[in-house]
Amino acid sequence: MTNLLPHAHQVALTKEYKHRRIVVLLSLFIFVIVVSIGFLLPSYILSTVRLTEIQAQEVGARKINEVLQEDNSASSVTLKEVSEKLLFIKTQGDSSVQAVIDLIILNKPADIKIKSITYQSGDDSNEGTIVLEGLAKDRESLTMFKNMIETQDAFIRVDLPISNFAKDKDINFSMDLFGTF
Amino acid sequence: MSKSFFDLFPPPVFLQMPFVGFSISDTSLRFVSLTKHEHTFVLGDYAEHPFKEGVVDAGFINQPEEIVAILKELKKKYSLQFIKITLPEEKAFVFRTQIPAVSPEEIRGSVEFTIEENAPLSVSEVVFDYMVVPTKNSSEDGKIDVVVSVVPQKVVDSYLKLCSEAGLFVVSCELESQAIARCIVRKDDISSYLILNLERNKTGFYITTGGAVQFTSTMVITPNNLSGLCDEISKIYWHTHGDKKGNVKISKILLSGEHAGHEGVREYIVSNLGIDVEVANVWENVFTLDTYVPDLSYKDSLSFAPAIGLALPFVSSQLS
Repeated sequence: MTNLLPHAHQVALTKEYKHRRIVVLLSLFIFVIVVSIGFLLPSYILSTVRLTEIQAQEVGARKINEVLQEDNSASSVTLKEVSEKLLFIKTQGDSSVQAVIDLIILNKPADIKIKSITYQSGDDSNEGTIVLEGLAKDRESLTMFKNMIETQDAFIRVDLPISNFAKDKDINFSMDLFGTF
Repeated sequence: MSKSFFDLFPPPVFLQMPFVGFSISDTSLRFVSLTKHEHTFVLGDYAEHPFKEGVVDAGFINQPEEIVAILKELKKKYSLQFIKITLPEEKAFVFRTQIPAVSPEEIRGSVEFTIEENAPLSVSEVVFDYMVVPTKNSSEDGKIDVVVSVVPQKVVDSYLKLCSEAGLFVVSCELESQAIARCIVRKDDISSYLILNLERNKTGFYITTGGAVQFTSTMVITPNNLSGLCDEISKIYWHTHGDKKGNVKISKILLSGEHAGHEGVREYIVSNLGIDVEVANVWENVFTLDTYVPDLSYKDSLSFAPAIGLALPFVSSQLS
């Protein structure tokens, strides 16, 4: 077969075929990409949902961690204070004060409950003071507790205001003990 | 029947660039498309548009706008894009010559030197192509036989311009004789035939061997002038390409064209010249009538031979 198509047209025809081949290849490529996206989309959605869940969990865990850290710091502070107080008592505290406190606690009647003991050390001009706060079952037990303390040599003076006897029972009292401690 | 890889996975139509055959003659424009069906082809779309007097005259286009309008109409109606067209036989020069035995890459250059010896045109003004004709003695005498087709560049350009104006992409141009030979001579037939293309106002005489057209001549002889037709056949048959030359021995005359099916034409030639004459089967290389019958009558199909030849897929390996 002879082809009398001029050379320029033959070149144009070849170019047209090459363009079409490129179009087909690109179409195939795009098709593959679209199909791939179609197949990967469910996995992407699932992984996105999972990521969101994990991020939410992470935020929650971080909050819990922060709360725990706050608690820990509060506990640390408390522990630190207690340690400091104990250390103070051990290092700074007078052994006589301990003996006085032991004396009070050991001789305390069962009807008396001590809520707090406040100590203020004395110096050359002032006496040391121990303030006892507590709960007495009745007037008799409170009087008995006062008398017991007054009999002790460690105390120079015991102040129990008369207002503490206003009630007959369940008396909240405050007692000041003075001495050379 | 076993299926090949490309039967199962055919390339996309977009890449196949399916084409149709367009035959533009002095009297009409015809087109045919063939559709692949299993391992053969069947007739697809076809149409014929007769021209008014003088639109095309002896292959010269006088009224291009008329043809462009028809082409546009056909393009729109049948969604055409790629086409093959015939070029007028009257404007072409077909000759057989010998060139020195050179490498395949150098054949075209050698053929170029023979054009001005055989055609009254300069090489710069023509479009040409060739076909190597295998011969028994070609390797011994250091020569290669080639059949060269030459058409003036301006003729080709005028036909291509029609198509480009109609928005059609031409993939191949062939001489009418070559398209007809490819259509009516069986693919593996190496015999020589004289083909008579009987048109309304002219007759084409083509000698073909192994499907390659080696001689063409177009004369203004109408089928009504049967005696004149016989005289011309006689000249060509006995004096130009008879047995005396040795290479070409015409075994049969094949009739094609719109007047080939007229009653009495074949019988007249046979009775006057005593030569074997046969009305061509334009579906010879397309399908067998045992398996498929087209909706185009046998008589009408004879005028579609060039278009069918063009619509057949390219099979030769001898194209330069």
